Amino acid sequence: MARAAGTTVGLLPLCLENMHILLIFVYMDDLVDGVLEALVELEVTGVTVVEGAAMERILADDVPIFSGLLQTIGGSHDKVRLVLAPLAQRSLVEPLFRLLAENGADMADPAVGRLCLLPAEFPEPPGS
Amino acid sequence: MKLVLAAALVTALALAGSRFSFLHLPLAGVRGSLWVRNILLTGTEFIFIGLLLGSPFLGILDDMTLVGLAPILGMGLSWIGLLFGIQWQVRRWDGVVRSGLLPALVQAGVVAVIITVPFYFLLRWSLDLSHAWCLVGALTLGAAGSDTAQSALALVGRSARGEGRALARLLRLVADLDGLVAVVVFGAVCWLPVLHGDTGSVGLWAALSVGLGVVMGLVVVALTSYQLAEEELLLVLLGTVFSGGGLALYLSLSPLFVNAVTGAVVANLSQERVLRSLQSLLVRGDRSVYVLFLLLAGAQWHPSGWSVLLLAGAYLMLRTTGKLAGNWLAFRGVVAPAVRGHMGLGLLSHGGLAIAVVVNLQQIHDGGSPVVDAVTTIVLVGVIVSELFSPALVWRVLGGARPMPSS
Repeated sequence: MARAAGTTVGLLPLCLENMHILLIFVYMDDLVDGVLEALVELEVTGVTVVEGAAMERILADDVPIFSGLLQTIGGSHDKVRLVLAPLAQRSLVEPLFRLLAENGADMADPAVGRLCLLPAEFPEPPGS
Repeated sequence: MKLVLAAALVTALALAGSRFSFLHLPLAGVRGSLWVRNILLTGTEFIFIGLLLGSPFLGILDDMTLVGLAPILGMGLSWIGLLFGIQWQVRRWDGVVRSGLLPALVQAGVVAVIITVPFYFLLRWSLDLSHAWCLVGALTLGAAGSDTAQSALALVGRSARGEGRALARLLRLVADLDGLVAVVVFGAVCWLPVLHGDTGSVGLWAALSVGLGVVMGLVVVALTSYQLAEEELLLVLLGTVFSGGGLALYLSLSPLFVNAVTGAVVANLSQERVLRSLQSLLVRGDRSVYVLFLLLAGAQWHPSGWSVLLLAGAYLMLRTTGKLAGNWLAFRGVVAPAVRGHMGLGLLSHGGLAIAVVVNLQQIHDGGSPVVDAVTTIVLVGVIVSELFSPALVWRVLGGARPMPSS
């Protein structure tokens, strides 16, 4: 479950066929830059970064001892970043995995993050 | 060998305790009070475990072993101080937090005064201490009493409905902010020349205290301006905790205060991303350090005679009076009079910084001093009794006429 505050980098691609939506869940704050750099290097555009919280974090109902103010002002520990991008070429996935690993964001490690692809349709507006 | 085993035992208990206490459990079958369940929910049982392990009973954590464990306690105090200070990132505060700051500090200040003044005379009369030591004891109690633990409000507040929900948020905000008075007042206690062999002046020790905190903060900001991985940030953090806290203890200053200043400097001067990572690292040790403190505070507790229990009763009464009066005064024009009159009852939860203050005093002035023993007994009894009743009181204040939620 995510509560969204998003940032978009770049423009949407022109080619709208055989599209996928790339979702990268990044669980470690310091790896977000590495993920975005990998996407820039592969010339993936229209990237949006959404900040959310893990379900366990919301349900945990933790009792703060000394860190209550951090909860009150919305401290960002245990936040999850969701990187969304439309992906025109499925062939970019393998080099993306490699680049992410080189940048320290090894998606094979579930503690670091997860990558998934969803087939997507970008319908044209009627009359165009 | 005993020291190594004791350190291992205490570490294991702290890690286990941080996993199995402080969980939000359904408050089953409650009708107005929680009694033993409160103790288990807020971790207070570790005081008794520590007492059991201490000299009066099993003797596993005897006085010699506790002296050997002093560096761990110093590290823990520094960690807590840094965690406290690093949350004071003023530029991120919205209007709600800013507007709640002054009332929270006023109510805590009133509590501190209401406890300190009578206790100066009570300690003088009951323990026959000098003026300086009465001041140390009374101010320490005032500092400890002014803080509100966040446990009861976190446990109960989420179940509040309607207007109670808004009041729960206000009470939590007050509890988050009023710890500043505890940290600053106890920091000031450590500026008194009596704790430094009657050398120096209050001004000198205050300047050293603040200066050390600011310098350590600037060092952290400078080091973290480089792109560091999480492991490297942890190293910077540990270095800060050990050096800042160690220097503070060496100078008989409060590591709690010094590292709180460090944390505040880091919070307001560091890059946002670095700050988030540091906060995340510090929060992970939140509960383990607290359980460790509860254990060691209990182990260093030498329950004195019955007269000190009477002083503990006076402390509870004065603290309750202070909370009621302080909130009534601080929230005039902010909260409806009908609510303001009993709002203080929702802020009686006790623990956290109060325990840290007691441990800090034990570290700075060891040697079985009567004032340290008395303050330890008074605060620990106050914490135990408060944690028995405070969740139920919070529930009542939040308008919980109906029974508390059951599983």
